[in-house]
Amino acid sequence: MKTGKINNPIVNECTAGKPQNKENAASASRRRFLRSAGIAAAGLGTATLLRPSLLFASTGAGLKPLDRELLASVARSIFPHDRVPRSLYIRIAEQVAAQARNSPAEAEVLQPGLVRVRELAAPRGWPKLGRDDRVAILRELDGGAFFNLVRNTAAQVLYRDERVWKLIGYGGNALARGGYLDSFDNIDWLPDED
Amino acid sequence: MKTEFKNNEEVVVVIGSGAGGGVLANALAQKGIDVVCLEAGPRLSFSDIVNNEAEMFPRITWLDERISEGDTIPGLPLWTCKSVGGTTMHWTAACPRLHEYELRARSTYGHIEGANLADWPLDYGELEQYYDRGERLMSVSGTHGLKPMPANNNALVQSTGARNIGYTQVDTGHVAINSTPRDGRAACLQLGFCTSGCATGAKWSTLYTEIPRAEKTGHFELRDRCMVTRILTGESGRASEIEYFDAEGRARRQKARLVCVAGNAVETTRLLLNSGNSKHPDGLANSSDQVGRNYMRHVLAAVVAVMPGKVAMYKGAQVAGYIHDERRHDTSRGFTGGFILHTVPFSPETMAGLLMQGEWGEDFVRKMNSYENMAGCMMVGEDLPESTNRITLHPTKKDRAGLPVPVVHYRFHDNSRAMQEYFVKVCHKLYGSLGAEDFIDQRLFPATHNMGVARMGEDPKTSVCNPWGQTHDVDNLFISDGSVFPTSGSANPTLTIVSLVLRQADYIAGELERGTL
Repeated sequence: MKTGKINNPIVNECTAGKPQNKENAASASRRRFLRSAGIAAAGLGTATLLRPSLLFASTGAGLKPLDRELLASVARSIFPHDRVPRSLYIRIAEQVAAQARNSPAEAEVLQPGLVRVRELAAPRGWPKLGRDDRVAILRELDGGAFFNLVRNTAAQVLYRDERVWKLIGYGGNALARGGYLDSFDNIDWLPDED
Repeated sequence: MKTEFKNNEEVVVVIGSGAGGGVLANALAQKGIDVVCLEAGPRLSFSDIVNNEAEMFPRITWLDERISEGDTIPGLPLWTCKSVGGTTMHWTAACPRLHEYELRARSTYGHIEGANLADWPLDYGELEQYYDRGERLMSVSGTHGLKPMPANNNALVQSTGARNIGYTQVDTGHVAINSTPRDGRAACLQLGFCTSGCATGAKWSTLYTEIPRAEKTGHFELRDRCMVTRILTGESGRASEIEYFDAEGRARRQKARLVCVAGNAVETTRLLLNSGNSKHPDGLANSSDQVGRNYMRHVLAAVVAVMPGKVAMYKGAQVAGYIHDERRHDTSRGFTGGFILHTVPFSPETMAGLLMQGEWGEDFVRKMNSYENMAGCMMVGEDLPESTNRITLHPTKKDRAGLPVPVVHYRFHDNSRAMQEYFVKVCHKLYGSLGAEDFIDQRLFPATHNMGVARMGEDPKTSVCNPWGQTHDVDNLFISDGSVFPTSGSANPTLTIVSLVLRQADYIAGELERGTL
């Protein structure tokens, strides 16, 4: 599967100059609060809806380049959107690492998970495996803590991203465009009602 | 000028500012009764309400720890609000009335194994009068000559499919969202972010209706970010005072002539159970052992269908179409009680995180790429009260306020499962009649309708409150939220809560005037 730069104007337009999440006092205090509320821990095994936000800034510091590549590739195999740029899957990898850095429970999951992926991908190695082999490995891991961490983080990063919204047809901030009075009832393919 | 009552002992203390507390407090203040309203959450302004689910969820949601047990979502068994306005911040404004047979569940359904059915200690005709008042107060579209809300694409798909399979009671229903400018509030812009708080105020919420109106009377003081921890009782066993933490985290007290609790089922239970003392050893108003029991949340399920053309379910008011045909008692369907079907949209993140939780791979992406073609339908079905579905307090675990962490124990009754399966089949047929290509079914949601943990009834041995929400054990303690429902019916509960507290306000005012309270 190709993971190179996607030459899509919609995608590229939004990729440039997007500010990274900045860690600040407010988000740190909210993080502490969320932790004490038990939500962060609960997020490991539950719906991503229930993780109130991306809890940790995704600077990706401390993540080895090979690990970052592997995580991004695993994330793309979990959610293989052809038209989503590689940079977004890299962000997923960095987000996973950021969460592991900030949450002991998730830290215990990340490195053993990567080791396990490499074991299962041996001897050829993950980068050389085709789609079916990668899927077979993920099926093996499905339901485990590492898989859930990557899957749920990926879902949150992808489906909270305006580029992805545009690709799949979600409008996002409706107030900014004055609402949908112009198009909320414009369906044209239904059979006429009597 | 802002009214401040300090620690005046002649005030009525209302705990909670949502559909129950906010409406009750204003109704009392309008009658000239002094009210102090304490709300655990902050008071937001319109500029705080943005069209972004991920941003609004932590801003308005009650995120203090609650332990999930049984058929509940780990980490978030309920989705309730911590905000001035309570759950009127995130509600979809659906305002169906209960039906008369639903107030007579025990008589209509007979005995059902495992269920603790009861009739409401209330005449339907009397409730109807208050429904009229509640609908007028909330300016409910589709009632009293007010223009109904228009159907959006999601609702048009649903209503067309519904007629295809023989349903006839199909409409845009009763919704507390302005179809036209009314009540000093704008008409709906069809934003589609109802559950994130309405950014324009077209949807009724006590935050910008009842609360400011109460403040204008000079008989009302709101204390936001104040978490009530205990209700204290005096020599006589009556409620005399409450303890709370204020916005700065300082421990405070407020004397009260009367205390009304409207914290939504879990917090109402926690407050009563945490207020036990030598005169009330099992918690306040709990001599019946019914506080926290019979917890109901409606039978929920949703079906999202991938249609052959574009729908854009996210556009427009979220509850924009109803089907009422299944709201009847007809056991030939394989279950007791009925349900409403209404539209529901989900954002991409919620599709991935809840509706298709755990799914992945090519199949997942294929569905997600069809997001624009999705249509969504949800059921609200009658849930049966069960003694063992209950809210309790964890014996040792405490939260930041030093309060015992609530445990939410809830299991589906077999009747609920049968109703869910029937609903899923109906939806597949409905959308299938229009060529739906794929379905996503979900039967597990965090509960937004929470009822029954302090049921009202005539008998103090089997109920917590009398028919006015006044507790049998403590005459100056009232329950003013959905906790008083003896059974759930199949109507979204807010209109009934509003109507019951309007009735309660009349009762309280009458009793105070007579000097019997």
